[in-house]
Amino acid sequence: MTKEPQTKSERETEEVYEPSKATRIFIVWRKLKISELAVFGFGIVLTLAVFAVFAPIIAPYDPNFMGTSMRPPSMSHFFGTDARGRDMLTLVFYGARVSLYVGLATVALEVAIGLAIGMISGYFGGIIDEVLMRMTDVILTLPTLPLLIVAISMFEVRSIHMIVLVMGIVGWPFIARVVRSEFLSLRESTFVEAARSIGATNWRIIVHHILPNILSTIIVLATMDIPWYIFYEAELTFLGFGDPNSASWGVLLERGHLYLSSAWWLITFPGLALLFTSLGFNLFGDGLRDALDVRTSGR
Amino acid sequence: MSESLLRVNDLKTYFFTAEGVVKAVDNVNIEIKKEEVLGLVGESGCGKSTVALSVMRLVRDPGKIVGGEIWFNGEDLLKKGEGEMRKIRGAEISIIFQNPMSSLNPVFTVGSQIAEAIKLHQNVEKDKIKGKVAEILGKVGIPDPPKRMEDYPHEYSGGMAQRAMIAMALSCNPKLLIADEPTTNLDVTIQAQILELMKDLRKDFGASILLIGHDLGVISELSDKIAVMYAGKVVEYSDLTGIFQKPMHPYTQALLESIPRLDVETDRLRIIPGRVPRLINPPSGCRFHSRCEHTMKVCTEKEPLLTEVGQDHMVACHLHTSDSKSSNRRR
Amino acid sequence: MIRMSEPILEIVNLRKYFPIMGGVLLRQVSAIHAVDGVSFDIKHGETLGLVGESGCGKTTLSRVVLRLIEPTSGTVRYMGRDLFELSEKEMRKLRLEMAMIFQDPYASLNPRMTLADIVGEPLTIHGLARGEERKKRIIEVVKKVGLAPFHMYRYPHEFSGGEKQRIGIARTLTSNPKLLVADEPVSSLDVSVRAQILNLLKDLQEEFRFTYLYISHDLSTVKHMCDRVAVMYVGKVVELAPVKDLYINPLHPYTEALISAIPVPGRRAGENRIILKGAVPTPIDPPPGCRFNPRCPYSEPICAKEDPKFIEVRKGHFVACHLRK
Repeated sequence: MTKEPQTKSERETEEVYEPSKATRIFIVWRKLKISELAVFGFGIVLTLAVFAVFAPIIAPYDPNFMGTSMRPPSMSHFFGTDARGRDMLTLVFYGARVSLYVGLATVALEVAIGLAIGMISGYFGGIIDEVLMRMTDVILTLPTLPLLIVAISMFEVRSIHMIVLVMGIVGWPFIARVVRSEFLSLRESTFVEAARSIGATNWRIIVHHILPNILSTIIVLATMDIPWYIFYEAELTFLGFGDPNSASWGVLLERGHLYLSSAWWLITFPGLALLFTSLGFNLFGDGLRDALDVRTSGR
Repeated sequence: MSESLLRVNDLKTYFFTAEGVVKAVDNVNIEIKKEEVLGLVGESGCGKSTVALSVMRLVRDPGKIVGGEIWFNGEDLLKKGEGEMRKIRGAEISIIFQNPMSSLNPVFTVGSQIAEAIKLHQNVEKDKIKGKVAEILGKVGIPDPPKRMEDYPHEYSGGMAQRAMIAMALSCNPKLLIADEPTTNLDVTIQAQILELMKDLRKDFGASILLIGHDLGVISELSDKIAVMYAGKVVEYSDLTGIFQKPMHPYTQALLESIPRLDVETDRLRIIPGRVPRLINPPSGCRFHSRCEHTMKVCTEKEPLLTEVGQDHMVACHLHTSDSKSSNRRR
Repeated sequence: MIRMSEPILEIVNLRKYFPIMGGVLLRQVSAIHAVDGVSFDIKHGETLGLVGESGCGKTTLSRVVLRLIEPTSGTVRYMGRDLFELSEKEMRKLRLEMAMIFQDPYASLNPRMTLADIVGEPLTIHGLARGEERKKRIIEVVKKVGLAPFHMYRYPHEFSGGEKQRIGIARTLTSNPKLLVADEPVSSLDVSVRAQILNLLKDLQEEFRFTYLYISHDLSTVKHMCDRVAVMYVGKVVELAPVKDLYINPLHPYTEALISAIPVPGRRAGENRIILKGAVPTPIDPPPGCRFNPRCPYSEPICAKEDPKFIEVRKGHFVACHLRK
């Protein structure tokens, strides 16, 4: 990257090189491409998204169609059929919808809450910070799964949305902590001091200066939290605390686990789907961290 | 006492990075005689610290010494194995760095770290080691050595920590002390103390010193001879008078005029146009040619070699070598 | 109506203490006397140097003077207005006239903002210009500091150290300031780049008639840049004089030692160089009497009891020392 304009005309000209938004995204993509693992992860995530969005179109059968039950994988049913004769491949596709929704919605919720609380805590400090941090301490010290179970059991209705809500409320402390510590350190940085010296208000400093600098950290954390929530939902369902009507992968696992020795295809394929999803998001998130760093140019 | 202690011949240390080969030290020749102080001066990135690390054979990946010889006490250090080098480091050649706080291990007492150096290289009885440590701490001017020995590095001030580093470096009576920017991080009055200390110790210990830095004033304080480095090469070499009163290399001249000095009054400082070239693809010919006011055609084609131009005065510049005198065409 | 013969900045008895908490109940156990009773004026259009070693308080003083840190006590008047009496809104408006150049050029620039955003931020914050006019102003300022507008939309990491510092300087120019505080503006830069920035600062001052408060630990640079110099030691100003007077005829023993400690290129220090003993003290709970007393070669009994007053001993030459009256 040239630092100084080499020619006198370059120096004198009023012409400006202005990269467009598209160029900026392109630069991120180019940096992502450097890591093959990250691209692989991105590929998985993309595939998952395609499955979820286009499930009705690409699924070979209707999810409620009941054919011959308990058939092992065959040419007509790649993943076999379940106890009611439904095609497993179709169910896995439809399950992707639910699982992806759970992952994204929960993460959106936890980031929204965690960001707000972390920002307030980190920037203003004092008694507000103390109170909020004690709250996060309480939630963080309790083991997650039992906590989720207790929280879920408080509600009579079991719906997938309820599960998302509960997980989001249990999950924000972690994000809040990270946001807070980033705020604490960035608050003292020289460029924030410089912004104050030219008259920036607190609001401007928080939104314009500090937030953009922690955004990439949050995006990466959020991306890597998605598989966690997909897993938690599966665990909760497996343990009987889920929404039996939701047809998520967790539900498939719950239904199929009794038949492990006789009909292995009932849990193997949903299980593999879970595994690959987790792998994909983790690899992608990792690569995203480096790709979003403004400081590297990817050349 | 004009016997040679260290002689570096055509040293080449390159860094093999993903972007290319950085020729950090490219054919550097320096010599230090017994009990002499050589100041190695240059801006950041010129290769001076790399020279120091090369002499100690402490250059780390992706850097490698790819050519030349380092003669120390009659032996080529580049031919020695790591085991032999470890015996030399700390005992025959010692090094002190810029930031004493990061060179001292924070979880050990200062005394124990100095003792470690002594234990490694000298055959001193266990009960006598503490005494030796106190003795050396006293020599570097640390008050109440038996007590301060038991302190941790963070309990030392900057100046004291640097003294402790010097104590550690001198504890085994090395023949050569390499000091890489030893006073850069210190306050001015503390820097003066350390420079005075080094002058005294030089007399007491009779060691040669390779003093590396970018501050021409500090270098002048201690050095008998000065080598000016630019972009991986030595461009001028002389004593104080030669460098400061009769500088011959355009870079040296420009450098002297670009720094604010107590003894010289100027309104505007001289600017060296352009910038230090990247050492991955260094320019052809003389590395300074793109920023030099006296560039000639030959400067872009042929690399000037260090040639003797006076008593103990060497320059690497086509302006002062014999072939240029005949073809003095301006570019 | 402010007359030019009046000072642009008046500092009166300024103090800034930082409390140190300790003990189980986290009470204040001691305090860092970072700035401990400093008084001096800065005249319109001059470059006043502020020198001292680590812990002397010059950095803290620079922040308090711009009200980036609240003082413990004392007054600072800018063009006759008491800064600490102003509301937050009034103070923010005043920041257009007072700007700071920071020591670390990289840290002082938001890595996620382009050059244009950084330089144009004062315009945005204060609503001074929009759209085309804003762009024009940014280009104007960028060219003034010697950078090419061509690179306006690049990020800080794409520039060299010297260029980053130019960006920092450009940012201050945008709002047409009158007073600039330069906190060690060239210490983090390579030796050969320093000359460019120092020359630039001088050029800008000539063109825009700025007043500079130039903070540094490097006495050679200060001599080159400044009209008057104030020397600080452990939170107090011990001497203030026109630059020539200070360097040729320093009155305070600390100033003497400081100047004689500077290594001059091409020379070895003479026999009469003053080497101070001991370390630079920390400003925590300073003992009574003159702060410099423990290290002073001329110490007298009174020095340990009474804090010397800062008085004008010769025309324009102020000292705080019992022995130089």
